[in-house]
Amino acid sequence: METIRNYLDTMFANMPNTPSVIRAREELWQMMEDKYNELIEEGKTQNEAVGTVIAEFGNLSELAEAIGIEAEVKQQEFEIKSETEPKVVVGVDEAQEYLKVKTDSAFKRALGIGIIIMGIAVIIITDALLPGSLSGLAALSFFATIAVGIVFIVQSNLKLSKFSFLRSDKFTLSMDATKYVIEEKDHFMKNRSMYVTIGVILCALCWLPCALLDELAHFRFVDDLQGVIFFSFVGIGVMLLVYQAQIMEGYGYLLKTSRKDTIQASYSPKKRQQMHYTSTGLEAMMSVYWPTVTCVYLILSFALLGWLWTWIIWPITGIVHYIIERNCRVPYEEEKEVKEVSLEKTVKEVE
Amino acid sequence: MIEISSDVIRGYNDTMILFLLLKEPSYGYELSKQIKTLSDGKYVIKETTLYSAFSRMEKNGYVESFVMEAGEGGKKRTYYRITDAGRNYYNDKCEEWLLTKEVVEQFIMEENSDGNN
Repeated sequence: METIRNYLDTMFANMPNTPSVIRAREELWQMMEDKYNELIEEGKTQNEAVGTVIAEFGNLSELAEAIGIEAEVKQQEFEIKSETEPKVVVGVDEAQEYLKVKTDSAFKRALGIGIIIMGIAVIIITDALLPGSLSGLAALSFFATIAVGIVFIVQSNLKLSKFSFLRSDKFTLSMDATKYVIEEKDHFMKNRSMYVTIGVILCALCWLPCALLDELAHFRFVDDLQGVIFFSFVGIGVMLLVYQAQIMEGYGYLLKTSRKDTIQASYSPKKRQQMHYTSTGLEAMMSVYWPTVTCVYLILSFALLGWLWTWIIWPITGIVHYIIERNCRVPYEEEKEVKEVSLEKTVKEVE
Repeated sequence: MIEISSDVIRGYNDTMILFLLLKEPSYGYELSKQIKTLSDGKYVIKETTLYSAFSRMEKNGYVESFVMEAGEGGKKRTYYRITDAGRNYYNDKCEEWLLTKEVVEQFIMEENSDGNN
């Protein structure tokens, strides 16, 4: 049964997401399911039943005119002709396994990078604690830490190699799997904003404890402590940012072949409205808004050593961003749906 | 073995479906099974052919669809029922076929039919 479902899913994967196409797919599935069940009742094996159902299915080009998918069917036939390998269908189990492996790998990679950054903190600590004659040992501890970091990074890639085909577009996500992945992604997005916020704050404010210590504390190891705190902040911040980016990459790979306007992507629990800016100039500007702000912040801070006041850039640009989003961003007009509805209306009127 | 040419029969899929719907409303698989039985297994209609016929005839107002739960397991299916326009269309198609048959038969040599049965 799963095979038949996948067969139908693959056939329809790139068809437009219109009511008539959705209905066609539903009814074809009803017929195939009925036929399969009856063949099984007659005592056919699963393989025989699946074979018969698929052999007697026909082809989509026959349906093309009836449900308005001529262009897509032509494109699909062209792709099949020019494609040497058939596409692999990724089901729920496989998607689930991939996400598990990817999360594991993201954790190891983030940890590896974090450890390498914090290696500098390690060298500061060992240097401070060991007597001067053993400074070689401090260097050794630094390289040892880096080695551990590298081991984690290398480890993170091992299990992923099995899924390397996801990097190409030689696969389709089955309908159920698409639904599963979109739900998982929506779930992760909540945690993601927390990771990003904490990560950015740690990186942006890594100097703050150091500055405070400078003002307040005067004891023997205060310089060393400042260094340790600085690199720990950066290390943990980068770790969080890398972790979430790696997981997002996993979702990106899986959902890459599911275009928004096709049947496959229509299973999102809540449909998000596509937004765009009112002018193309603004569109271009807003796409580089935060990177530009970050650059300005860093340049000003480094050039003028104005760490104590440059943070004011963040609230100001934040408010400006909010105002622009609020006033100059509108949802796309849903022309397609309007057309479809009016078509149905006319059909009903004719009847 | 000679198989039916889908080009020739295409124009008469509608006729077969409407004939079956004259008796009672029915759904996709049931109809395809009846067509297979009545034709003695000589014609198996493909799912896509069947659905495009439904879709075309519904647009033209020859059939109407409705969703009904079937007895066993309560599975929901789309049923089709014939309309008055569909009955008229069916009668026209029958006449058309009789005419077609009459004409084409004038050109068929009798002795060729031996080999197949």
